[in-house]
Amino acid sequence: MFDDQFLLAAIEGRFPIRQVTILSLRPEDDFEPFTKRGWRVVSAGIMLAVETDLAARGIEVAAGNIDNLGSPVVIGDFAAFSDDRRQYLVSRTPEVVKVNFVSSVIDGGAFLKTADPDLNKSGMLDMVGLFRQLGYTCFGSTWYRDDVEPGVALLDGTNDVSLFPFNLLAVKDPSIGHSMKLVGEIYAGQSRDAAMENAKLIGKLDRKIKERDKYIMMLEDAMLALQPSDKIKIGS
Amino acid sequence: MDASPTRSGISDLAMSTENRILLYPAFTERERLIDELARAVWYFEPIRDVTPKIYVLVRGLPITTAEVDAMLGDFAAVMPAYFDSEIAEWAKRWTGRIEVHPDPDGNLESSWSVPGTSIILCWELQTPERYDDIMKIGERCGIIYTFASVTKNIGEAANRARIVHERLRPERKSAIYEAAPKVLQKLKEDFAGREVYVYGSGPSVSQVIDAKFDFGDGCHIVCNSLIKNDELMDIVRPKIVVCADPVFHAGPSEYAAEFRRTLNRFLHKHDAHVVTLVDYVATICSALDESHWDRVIGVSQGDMPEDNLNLIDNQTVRPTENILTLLMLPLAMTLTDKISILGCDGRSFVQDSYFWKHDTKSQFGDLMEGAKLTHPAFFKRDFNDYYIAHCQVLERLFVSGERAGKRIRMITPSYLPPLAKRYEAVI
Repeated sequence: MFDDQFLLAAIEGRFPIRQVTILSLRPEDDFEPFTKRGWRVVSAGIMLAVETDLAARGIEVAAGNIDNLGSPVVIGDFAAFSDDRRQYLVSRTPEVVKVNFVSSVIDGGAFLKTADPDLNKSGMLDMVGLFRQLGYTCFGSTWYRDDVEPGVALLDGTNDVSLFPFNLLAVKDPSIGHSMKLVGEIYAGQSRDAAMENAKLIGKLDRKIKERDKYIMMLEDAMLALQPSDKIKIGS
Repeated sequence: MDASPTRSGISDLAMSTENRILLYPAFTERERLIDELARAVWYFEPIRDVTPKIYVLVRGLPITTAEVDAMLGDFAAVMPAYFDSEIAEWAKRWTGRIEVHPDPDGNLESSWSVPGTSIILCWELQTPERYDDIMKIGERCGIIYTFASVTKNIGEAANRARIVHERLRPERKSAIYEAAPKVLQKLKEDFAGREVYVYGSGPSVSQVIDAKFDFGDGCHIVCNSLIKNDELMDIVRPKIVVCADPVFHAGPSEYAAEFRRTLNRFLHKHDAHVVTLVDYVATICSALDESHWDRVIGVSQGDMPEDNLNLIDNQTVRPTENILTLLMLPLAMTLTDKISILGCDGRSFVQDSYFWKHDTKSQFGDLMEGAKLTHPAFFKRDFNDYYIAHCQVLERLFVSGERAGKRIRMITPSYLPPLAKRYEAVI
């Protein structure tokens, strides 16, 4: 998803081990930006939404369980954070943990929040509570402007519920979250500029189409004039 | 992507005349299950006698085989209104034949290992990659498969009908293929030397009635829902009705059902034949009185190096997306050398929200929304791309006919250039 790439931009160069452990994988997830930059993306007891060829998507299937992997970054859907995995977080406290509560649909084009917010709200609050207890700072990657513009916000305890649904990002070093927020803002700015540019182009195209239609209608009138009939009126 | 049913390494199961059909993937929502059961009841009716089982996969959906049976017993209570109301009655015939299987892991191969499956109907697909997976596994296991997602496959209705035609009892299928050349030969003798009038269902067609044009001893070929226009039908008394749309004629919607009811009444009243594609003969006939079945003939679609203007020798037409070019003109040119076309108004190129403008007396307009709900993918298209492609095919077909000595003229005005330039002001 889009925020995995924001995350990559924020963590690049920060850890001695460039390795991400993923606990789940959906068709729309894309870890190629990580693998292309030399990161190892490893899975441990992965939860799959649909049958997937992990190797074809650059994901290594690691031997053993999550405890042996020692990745500084752990990413997974909320449902993949079982009790034993939460225990792992308590004991190993990786640098970054991202818990996905929302997904984007494949067909829709724009990012859509498909999670059931009521269903997962209490789960989110439990996770945020756990991370804060362990000394993490929490951020939420969410969507603005009619769900088409992504962005990252600091969760300060007062906005946890109002911002939900979001993907939860727990970081030991808050600057990682702030970097993600900055990347999000730059992306959103570019996205707004691109949207304005697109709107201008669409307006120009609409004017051209109207002009074209005017000529087509003149040609059609001429064509109909060559088909005289007293008794038959076309299209009526 | 619209793959036709493909076979490779056909297994004994697929070679068997019995069909055990698996609806894949698993259903997770009751509404989608009911929707697909309605479609199964409609499409599989012609092969019900050779289909002992339909397997349904479910994941996280608490429903049992017994509950599905009970539902089929009172299907009218749950079936969406956009389906043919007759389906609720037919559903009772399927009690004891639908079997529910749990599918906990979504794994393709284990899903397909339901014992005895010979046909997979993929009613939904999550990712494009899965098409390849399904094709590979289908071919490896020798299972016939078809893609029929109502939201993603524009040709889902055609694919469903095609697989049913393929799985008809061999003797029924042979009878369909054998009927066409005999009927066409007889029609050619009846039509010999006469003008053939070919009707579209454009808005101008009803004005032909008031024009009181003298058709002499001409023969008339009409199409689609024009048969609803009783006044016109009583005047022209068509010898042939052509219909070959998988959605509007052979589909499970109430729109298509109303067309078939109208066709049934029409055949009681008029001495006419119905010409369609072979894939739709059995599905259309299943809704007609059995006494009409021998008047419904089908031709095939296939790769042809040139337009086929002699359907008596070879009953294969080039695939096109419009009834005029697909069947009406090849048929008319098979039967005669003098062809007049009426009621193909087309539309202005700039009014591009639908295929064409239609005569309101010759449409089931109030049922159109239901047809769109039944086949959402079918209506997702660029109607101007369709327009341009149609004009190109039409011109090619006219040129083929004219080179073969046919005289083709348009006798009501049209927006479509290939027709407009062949206009003769005789009405």
